[in-house]
Amino acid sequence: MDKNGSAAGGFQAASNKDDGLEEPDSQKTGAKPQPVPISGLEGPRSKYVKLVSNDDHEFIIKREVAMTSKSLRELFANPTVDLAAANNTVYFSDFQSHILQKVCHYLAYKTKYRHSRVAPPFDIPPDIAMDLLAAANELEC
Amino acid sequence: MVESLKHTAAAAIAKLIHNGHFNSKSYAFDQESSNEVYAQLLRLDPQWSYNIDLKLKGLSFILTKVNFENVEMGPQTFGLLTQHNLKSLVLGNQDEIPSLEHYMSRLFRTSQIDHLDLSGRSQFSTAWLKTTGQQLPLLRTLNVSGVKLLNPDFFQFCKSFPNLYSLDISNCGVTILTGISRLKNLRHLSLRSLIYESWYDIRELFALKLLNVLDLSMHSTHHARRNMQRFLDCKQVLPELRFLECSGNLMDEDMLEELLITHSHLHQLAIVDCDVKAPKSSPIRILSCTTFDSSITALKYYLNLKRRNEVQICFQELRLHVKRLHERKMQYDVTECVTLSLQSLEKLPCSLIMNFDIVEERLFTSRLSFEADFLAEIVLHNFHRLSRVHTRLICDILLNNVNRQLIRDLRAETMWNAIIYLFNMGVFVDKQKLKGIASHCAASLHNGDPIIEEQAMRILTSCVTGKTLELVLSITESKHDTTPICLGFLRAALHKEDEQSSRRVAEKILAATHNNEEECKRYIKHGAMNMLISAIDRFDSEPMHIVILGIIRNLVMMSPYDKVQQIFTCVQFRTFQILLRNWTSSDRAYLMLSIFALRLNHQDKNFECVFRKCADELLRKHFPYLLATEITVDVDIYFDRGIVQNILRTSEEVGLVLWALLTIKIYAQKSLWNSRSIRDSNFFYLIENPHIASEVVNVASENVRFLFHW
Repeated sequence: MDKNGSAAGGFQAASNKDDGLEEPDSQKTGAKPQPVPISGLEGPRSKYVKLVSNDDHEFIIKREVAMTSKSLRELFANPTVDLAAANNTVYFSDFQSHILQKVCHYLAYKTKYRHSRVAPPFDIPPDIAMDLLAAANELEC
Repeated sequence: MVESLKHTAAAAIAKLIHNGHFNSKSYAFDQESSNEVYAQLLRLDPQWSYNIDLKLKGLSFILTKVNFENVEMGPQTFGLLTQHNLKSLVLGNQDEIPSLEHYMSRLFRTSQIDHLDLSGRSQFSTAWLKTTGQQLPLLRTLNVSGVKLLNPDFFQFCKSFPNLYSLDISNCGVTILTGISRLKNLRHLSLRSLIYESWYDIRELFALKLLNVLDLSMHSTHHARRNMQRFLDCKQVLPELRFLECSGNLMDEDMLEELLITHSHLHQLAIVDCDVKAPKSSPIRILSCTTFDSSITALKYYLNLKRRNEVQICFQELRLHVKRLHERKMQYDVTECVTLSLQSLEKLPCSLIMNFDIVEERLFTSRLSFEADFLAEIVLHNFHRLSRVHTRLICDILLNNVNRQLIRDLRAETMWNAIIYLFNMGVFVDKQKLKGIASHCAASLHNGDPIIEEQAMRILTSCVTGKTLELVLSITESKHDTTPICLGFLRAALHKEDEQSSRRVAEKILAATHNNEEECKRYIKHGAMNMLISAIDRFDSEPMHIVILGIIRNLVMMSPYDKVQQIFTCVQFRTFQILLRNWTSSDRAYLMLSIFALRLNHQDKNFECVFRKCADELLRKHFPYLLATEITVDVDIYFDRGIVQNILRTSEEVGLVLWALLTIKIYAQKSLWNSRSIRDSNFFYLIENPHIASEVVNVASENVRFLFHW
């Protein structure tokens, strides 16, 4: 259980939301601008992957960086059709953006210094330590 | 090594709790987080776990797994743990806790422990072990390595834990495995470093039909390493055995062949340090150090298991393999070797390791790491293939190792040679660590053990060679150095009979001892005088002699009055007399006579009449010649310390007064300012009117006075 009392849903691969239906004309005038497509996210061997927080912040990181997390490694090592079709995007229902951002920092840090005998300390602000520990348990990193 | 985010976050939380800044009292830690944070708290405060327990009051923790290795537990901790449903407990060494068994039993009443580690030096009674078995019916993994058990106790022990899957009784002293057949569910069994006299002692082993992993390894220092022979003598087979560890046992090819035939179902067989060559091809994965590649494979395996003894053996063997590759100019993966060495040093901190002395082939304790020895070999032959980061790390590692202790181990010298090589190749060398090594070597020159003394000399000799000389000359000695480092360097340079480096080091000593009473005393205490005088005979070099004599002068000048005759003895005086006959240099002669004068000035006139007479005669004899020649020796210190002034006022020795007058002449001729300062001084009248009645002194006085009227 997490601190909100709800079941820890963790993360899940994004499903393809494009069902092919065309939106009504009345909604087009007020529609949000379409996101700019980012290259490198397509296919089962994409160069990048996308992690999305529960407040819709997107973090695009290198696949090799994401692989430092055991959970993500298992997910991306055996990609499903849905995962590839969704531009290798993973949604985290329990992680706020500032937590997910710190996780990404750590993954990059670990990638950089994993083979170094001496690595600079990875500082964790006290106010997010609890949430970060929960995230670390979930991502196994 | 990079810590996991889990560890890092838990450490941050632990620090908050430890400092009393954790504000989320209502937060309920889940099981995994609780275990992790508690582990980090133990790392922060390992001295007394009770302090941690106090800090945890009010927090919602769910502990299921705790490790008290290297932690001092308190009785209160057991009270805390009874509130949790423990599943895994590593006790560590808790011999200081009275009634330990009582607290443990109370804890077990509320636990569902399936993993229990009691390894270490603790002692447990047979009755308690029996009770524990009854209290922990779910126990599957038990480690009592190092816990002393008698054979009858072991029999009872096996009755108490019938459901074990994994058991480690390494180093527990059991010599007969009677009773082990009761552990019918056993899959993993470790019997490291246990000794069996015959196959009969271990025959029950083969009743364990489900045994999957068996460790019969021995430490190579044991004289009896024949457990594998006992195993084979049983003429039976463990049908489910897949992993067999034989390392350290003496084996021959016949034994290995028999084992491979009878246990062809093995997946892995380890025969590191078994004195047997692995077959070139086998369906069974064989861990050995027969080749370079197999040594790397074995090293990785044991490194992962954190098996220190086997890791050290692998590094020993790897070093030999690499040495052979170097001799044959063959290539190998240097980066991998360095990386594995660094990982080993990180995972397995260096500790005391029993090993054979390569000089006298006897047992002794070595504090040198085999990883460092291995790295030294790589540096000396494959430096160009090392990265800049690695060279810096390696240099630090080598310095730390050599700095520990000079003992009968040539590896220290090899490491030192690697350090010098790194420095010559431009790698930064920490001066403080270098200084520590040099100080240690300087002290070891008088160790009394000729092997250690020779090793220390060789290391110091390498310090005064080439570019290293500049490095060592830049070292600043401190008052805390018991043995003067530069004295060791000078001794080494003299031993090497290198005039240039000897003079460079001597010049440093000269500067260090100049007008420094404390430093002079240190050098005197450590036998500098005898060494310096003997050094004069080694070189026919005026510059060298001037420096040496300058140091001797400093030592004599600063020595206590009541000990000067012990520092500069009559024997040494006679040596100087002989040298003085052959020297034509005025500077050298003046310095030597200055030493005589200082000696005279320090001495009570009622003692050593013969010395006083001889020295006085020498001073009188040489005065006319020195007065007529130019002398470039610095004489300021004689005035700064009032020596000249005191002699003019009080001395009754003609020779001594003549020396003082000569010194005044030398000083005055240096500069106009010096001349004026003498003329204006309050002792100038003593020059004009010597207090002793002597024709020679009067004539000398007149000659000196002439300088000031010119």
